[in-house]
Amino acid sequence: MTEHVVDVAGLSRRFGQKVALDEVSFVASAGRIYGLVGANGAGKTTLIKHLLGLLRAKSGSVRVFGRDPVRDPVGVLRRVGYLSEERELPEWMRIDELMRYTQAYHPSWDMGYADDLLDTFNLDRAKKVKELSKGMRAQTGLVAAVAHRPDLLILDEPSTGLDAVVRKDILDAIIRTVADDGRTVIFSSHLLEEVERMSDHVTMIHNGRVALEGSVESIRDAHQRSSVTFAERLDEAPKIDGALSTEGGGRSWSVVHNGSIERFRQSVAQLGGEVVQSRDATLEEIFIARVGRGRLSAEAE
Amino acid sequence: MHTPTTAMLWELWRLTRRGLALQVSMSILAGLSVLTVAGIYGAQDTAATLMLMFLGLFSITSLVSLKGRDSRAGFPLYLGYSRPVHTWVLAGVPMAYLAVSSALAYLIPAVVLRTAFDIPFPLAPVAGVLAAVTVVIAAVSWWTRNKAIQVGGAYVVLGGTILAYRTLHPENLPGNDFPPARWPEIFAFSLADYGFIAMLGAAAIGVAIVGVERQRRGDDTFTLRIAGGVGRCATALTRLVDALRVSCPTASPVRAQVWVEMKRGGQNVLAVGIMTALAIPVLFSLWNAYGLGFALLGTLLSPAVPVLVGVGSMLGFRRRHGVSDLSAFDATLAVGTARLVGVKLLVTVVCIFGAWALIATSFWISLALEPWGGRARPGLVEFLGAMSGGRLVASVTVFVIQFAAVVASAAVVQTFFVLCARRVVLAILGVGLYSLALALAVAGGWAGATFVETHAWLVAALIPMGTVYVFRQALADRILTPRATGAALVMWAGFTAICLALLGDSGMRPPGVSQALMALMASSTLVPLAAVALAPWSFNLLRHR
Repeated sequence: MTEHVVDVAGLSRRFGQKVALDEVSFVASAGRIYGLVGANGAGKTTLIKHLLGLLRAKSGSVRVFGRDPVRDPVGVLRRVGYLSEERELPEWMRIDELMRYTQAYHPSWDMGYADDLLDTFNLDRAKKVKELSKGMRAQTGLVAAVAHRPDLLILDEPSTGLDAVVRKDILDAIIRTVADDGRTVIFSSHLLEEVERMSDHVTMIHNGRVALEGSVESIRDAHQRSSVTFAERLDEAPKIDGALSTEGGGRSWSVVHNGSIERFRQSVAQLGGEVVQSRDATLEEIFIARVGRGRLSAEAE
Repeated sequence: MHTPTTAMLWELWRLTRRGLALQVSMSILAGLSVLTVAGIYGAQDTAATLMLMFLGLFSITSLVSLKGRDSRAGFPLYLGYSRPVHTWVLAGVPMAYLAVSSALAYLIPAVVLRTAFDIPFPLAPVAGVLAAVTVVIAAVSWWTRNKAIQVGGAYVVLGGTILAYRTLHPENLPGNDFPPARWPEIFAFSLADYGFIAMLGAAAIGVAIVGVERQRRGDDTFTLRIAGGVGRCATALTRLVDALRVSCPTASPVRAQVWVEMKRGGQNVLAVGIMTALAIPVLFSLWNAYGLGFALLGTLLSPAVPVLVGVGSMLGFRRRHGVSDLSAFDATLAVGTARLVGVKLLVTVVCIFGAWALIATSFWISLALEPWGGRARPGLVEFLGAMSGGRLVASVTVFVIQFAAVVASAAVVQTFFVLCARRVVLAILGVGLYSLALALAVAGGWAGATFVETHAWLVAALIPMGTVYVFRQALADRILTPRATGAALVMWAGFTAICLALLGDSGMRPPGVSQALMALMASSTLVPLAAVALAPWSFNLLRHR
């Protein structure tokens, strides 16, 4: 049996009254890119913190490389590269000092690779972290995270607040990491287009629960966006089988739905309408349909 | 909240109210207990003098409660830069608030103690001085983000104020004669004095407003125009600093961490040690020449400075917007928690001892100034000469281990403070109040020997139980290995043997000592052992919440 790189089972976590994670299970295998998506406060960072051992599993279990990251932090963190959303780095260190310091903790550190990346990003090694711009800080953090060629690269909202050039640097690093044989990347992002383009597998977290997961293809195959017209004007959104969200008004409506397309067509026909056009929904459309306001109000009803 | 000023006052109140409440209540409690106990032993005058100094110094810490919200230098309420208010409001309102709060933090306990003990604690004069001092300190630390200029400014302001006061009131300088009976005479301020204090405060507020305005507009950087020979010197100095830069070792995580801890806090402790060592001869000279009591007090308190600096920064917690925490960068280092904490503590202790060595050398050299009529140096030589070499080494060893245990305990308190500040404060207050009540009961003869002995037995039993518990937890969480635990036990056995040898050598005999006290003493030797497990265990709770 192949051992998973990450194996999270039944993980729950509360912060006071707020349920941050509720019975979350998540598995990551070697050599794949996993995208974590969800609204703000959905639980993505909490899950990532558990993987790094920054939070102790109160219920459920977390295994990274078959080890408990809390009981064996050295065994896990040595093989992990991590870039946090806030890019926390020691402000007083110079870039060259940061590289040497990080190298000391990782026997597999590849100085040539680090130098290449620093040159590519045009980073001045004598500059202190506190003197760097947001983008340069992200690039520096990225070099520190990938230069030991980690078996698992974890990026928490790596592109947030960055310009297109730095975002591309980060995406390239993800690609290069995976290009190295059998390495795994887990990254969370608000930029769904980016996740869709980069990931092999997507996990959507909503209100601390896994709302949807699977390969990008299977998720897109299972969701369609259809344009529907009705013979008569409708005052409220039609209740169609399989519909996740419905937008529009009058005779024309746009529906994101899952399940069989034939069943959907039949349901529309029973309501006196017809499907004008259907296509695979984008990840962003699926995300909004599943966790957006329309969905929330539907759930409340 | 109809105006920006009331909104800012509300914000300041929310930021400082807990600190102020704690400050006032602790001042009152300390004053009541110290003066009560001193009254029993007939030393109330000395105690009252010490309390006056304590209340004065403690009241200024209201400034710290605001400053300590963030590690950023300069104006602490920088988030208000984007608010639609003038800079004089932005800087002036907090300064006025701090002036009033530090005055009240002194006045309330002073009034209580004055009423309870009929000691003439001065009110308006000292409150006025403290308000002005608070404003001046705030101005010095707020007007620029450049720390070197802040420190230089602080020295200039302090020296200038002492000089001005000495010129205005040469007869009132307290020196060593400062009994409560003289306070009404010493603190009989004239209108001119109050005018001087008000001017000082107003000038400080003005300076602060100008400095904050500059920071608000983003032009705080001080650039020195250097040219010619001075410029070449500056370039040479920069090259020298670069040449002396020690690069981070990459051979092992431990060496790299030692390097980081040295850069992060250790070298500050050593720098403070050097500065203090340089200041001691000056302080001795001031005391010799003018009989200035504060100069002697400064010398005697100087060893505490590196301890405060070292212990304050040893765990490297980052502080942002009033919240302390372990940074994700530190928490995700691929190193075990015991080693992570052990190196931090080791570097801190070694650097503090390094600073002490510098201070002791300076003290020894300064004794050549013969501040105690030439008796100090021979007395010290005689005291050390009376000890055998072995006893001296043993005493130093015990002191080092006990000091390391104290530093580790401070680390534990800091860690728990980050984890659960409110509960820690309540626990410390509870234990403090209970101990105080117990001490008062014993001093007043209200508590019998059996009552006291019961407490001694209780604590004597709790220490080993607590030690076993933390070791069990640390082993269960794999923070400590059985091998490390064995090594700690062997070292503890050695420490206990040295303690016992020292006790036997000193001729201390148990006859006069009760069994409970003996048990407590024996049990307390476990404290350093408990610290070995407690420090990493508590840090591990923070690292893996």
